[in-house]
Amino acid sequence: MALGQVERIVCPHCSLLCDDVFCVINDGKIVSTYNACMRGDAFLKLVNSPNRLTNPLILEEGRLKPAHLSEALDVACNLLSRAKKPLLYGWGSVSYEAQEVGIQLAEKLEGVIDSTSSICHGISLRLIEEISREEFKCPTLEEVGDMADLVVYWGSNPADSHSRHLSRYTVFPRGKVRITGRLEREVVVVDVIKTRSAKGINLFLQIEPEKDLNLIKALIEYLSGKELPENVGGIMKKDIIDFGKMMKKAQFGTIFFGLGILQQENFKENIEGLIKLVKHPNLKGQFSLMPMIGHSNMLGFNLAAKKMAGVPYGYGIDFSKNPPEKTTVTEALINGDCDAALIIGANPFASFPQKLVEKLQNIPLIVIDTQMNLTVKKASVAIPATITGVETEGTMIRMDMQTKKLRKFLDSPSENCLPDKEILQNLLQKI
Amino acid sequence: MTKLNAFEVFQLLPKTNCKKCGESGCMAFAVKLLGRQIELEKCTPLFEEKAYEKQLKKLQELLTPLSEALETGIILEEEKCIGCGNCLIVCPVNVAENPESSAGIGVAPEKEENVIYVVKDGKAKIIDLTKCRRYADTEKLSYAQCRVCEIYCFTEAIKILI
Repeated sequence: MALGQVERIVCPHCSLLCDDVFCVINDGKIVSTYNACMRGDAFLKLVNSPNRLTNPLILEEGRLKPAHLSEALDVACNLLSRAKKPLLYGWGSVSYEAQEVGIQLAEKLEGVIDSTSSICHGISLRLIEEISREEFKCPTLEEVGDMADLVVYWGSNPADSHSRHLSRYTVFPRGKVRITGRLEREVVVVDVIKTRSAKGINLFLQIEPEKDLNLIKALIEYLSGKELPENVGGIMKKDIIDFGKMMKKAQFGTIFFGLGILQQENFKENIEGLIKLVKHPNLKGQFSLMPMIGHSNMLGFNLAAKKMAGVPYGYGIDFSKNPPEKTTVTEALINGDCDAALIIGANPFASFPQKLVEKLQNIPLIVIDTQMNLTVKKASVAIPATITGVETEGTMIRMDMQTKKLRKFLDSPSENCLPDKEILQNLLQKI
Repeated sequence: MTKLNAFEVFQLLPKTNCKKCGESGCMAFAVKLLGRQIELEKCTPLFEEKAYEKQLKKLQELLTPLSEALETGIILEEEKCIGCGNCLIVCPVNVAENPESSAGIGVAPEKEENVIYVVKDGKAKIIDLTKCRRYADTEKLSYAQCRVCEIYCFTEAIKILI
């Protein structure tokens, strides 16, 4: 069967960055994909979406009107230079190279820059470093696939967030050590509801909401040889013992935890508990923790911010202070002294709580995005961008800290759509 | 799991072993029904005699999903599929035909005709079912009992009825 042009690419949708995805291209458009999950496929096909932002837009008399790119860049430049303390937010799905330029821009503007990681797993990474007092390290996903005989998803639902996590990397592949793959592994899911990830696994523990810490403590007690109560957070003693036995037996175990662990009042204690659990002296195997990071290049921003300003994971940088301080988007918006915002590769109007949205609504917004979305609709000026990993090359960091090179395989949909990095460089030069 | 079995079907047949269908008895007829080698209509008493009305209705309900299943008794509902690819990595035939998949890597477009499962456009698709281990024995009406794709499908998009 003649397929025409076929490209093997790295899927830029989530932080799994699957590198075995094929796109069939016809007439400069992606007509079908192979191996991408439902979300990856939908993301790649946004390239041809009717919702694609291909024209710069400027707010005039209450309405967004098409404008020339140079005009839009000028307006953006003016808004940013006039602002006393602009906020530069998003960065979750742009390349590492663009993130570096973004940080330079924030420095020049003496503004605040932060990414989605400060409301997501950046916090987990930071807490892991703070509590264990060492640099965050985790095995690669390939190492997990090769060696893991116990894979735990705790407060995470990979079927619905990272659909290919099990099949591409951790559970089903026949690894170098686990040569039969699934048969040599135990898979455990801990969650408050029976999610789709809980099908076809060895043990499902349905924990009552906010009781994760009790289960973590019970497991530690079991490993220490102590007697357990009959029921912990809705889980029977028998099941905890089963889980504990699996942990004792395992030679290589990884706990992939999700926002279920983090979005609780005692999230710090949860992470602290998990660290204690994986480092328990009675475990003979090698255990590790890995957060289920969502955005494709959230980690990239953290690494860039760490390198360029020395801030820990999960923090942005406040360049209005001298020397620059760590801060977060929430802090910056709640304090209310940000008087303009540049939003890139994020849709805060759809994802932020109302309080923060209200703050954003009252300041001029410069939005750089590939699609028409709720945030673009509220923009003072919108600048269209190309999609990284499709129409622009770039580097992204996978959830296990591995660097992935994404390449360009399609042309920009319009001469108005520039790569994120170029737009930012343009602004950097003009200001 | 909604697995149909011949005994369940047999219970709803007249159980008279009248042989009007041409089979040796009601049990043999039930087995062939599940293998879809004979139509329910061949059991004429079931349709002609009022006494079997309720049983007939139940039988028809029971057998409807089967009419949508493919030769090995498998149904793949694309609208439920999320494209996780568990089926194509866990399927022993798929991995034998496409050894790269043993490392979790999907099927390249040029190899798609060699395998049972591919994930295309974000959904799993069945390409060559004749390769399925369950397929080989359908003639003998004894299905190989491999159902790993059904067991590990996150969304119950894959169902094996028999």
